[in-house]
Amino acid sequence: MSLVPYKEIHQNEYAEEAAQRFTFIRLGSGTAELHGPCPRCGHAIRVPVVDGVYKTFWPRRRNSAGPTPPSGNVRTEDVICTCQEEHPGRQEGQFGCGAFWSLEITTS
Amino acid sequence: MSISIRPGRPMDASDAARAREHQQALRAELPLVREAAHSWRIGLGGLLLALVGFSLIRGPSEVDKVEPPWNVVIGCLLLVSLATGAYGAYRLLSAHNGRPRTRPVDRRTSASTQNHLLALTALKDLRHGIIATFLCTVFLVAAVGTTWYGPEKAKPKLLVRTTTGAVLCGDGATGDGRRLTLKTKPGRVGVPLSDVLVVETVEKCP
Repeated sequence: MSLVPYKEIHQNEYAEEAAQRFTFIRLGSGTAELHGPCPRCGHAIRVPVVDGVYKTFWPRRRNSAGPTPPSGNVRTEDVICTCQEEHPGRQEGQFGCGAFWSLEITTS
Repeated sequence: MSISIRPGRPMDASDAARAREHQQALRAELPLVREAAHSWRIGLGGLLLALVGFSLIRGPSEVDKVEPPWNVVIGCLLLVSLATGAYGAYRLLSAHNGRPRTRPVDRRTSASTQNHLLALTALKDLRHGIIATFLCTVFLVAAVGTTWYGPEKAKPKLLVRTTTGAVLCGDGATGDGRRLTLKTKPGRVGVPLSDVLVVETVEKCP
């Protein structure tokens, strides 16, 4: 597989492909993972889906910068490619191939 | 339980930046929690050390001066304080260093998720450690307060039996060579020394 260069890019097809190929795995304590291949680079990725991230000294969980889950059992998760493989042009501190898309996860 | 995944809303560059920040926050989460636990451990350890270092309770001799059953209450408070302090120390140490046991190898989940789960456990340890240490302080202060301000143990009393068959009990006895005066519950009572048959000390007046 040839390595696609790093580029921050969003296409509607990414979300459509990811919706078909990704699986959602619950791990407990408000933590889950999305497993599947990145629609752009094809590398297998595992994306954490969490309810909150600790950020401050005060010992309680705060909501992350991510979107707040809507009420009910539907949540929207903004996903970026988090693959570990090299992508030409990727700067330090960046990860993945640069592709991003959004998924709506419904549990019932 | 059924799960369905559908394409979400359209995203722009700012959404991608937020998602990236979120991923970075997840990666930095565990070291942040460990660092916070370290700070709390030092702070609370210092607080307890200062309290114990003041030698607020000098030992059994001080506790024995308190009227029963308060001496037992103090003993129980100290015991509970010790237990909660030890538990708090264990939880704070666990929050800072992790639980003292190995974890099964997990090839299913990503390192970020595993670290997030560890951070959640460490946060729980930190919360419990802080609560337990504060409780330890509260129990310690209660024990010290009871020792200082609890009812003092009653001093031995004098019991006097007279030839007339009367029994006097009290303290603060004084005498002038002819009469013995006792401070009793109803008031001061004097008895001619010639009438005194027996004088004995008792813990409590009958």
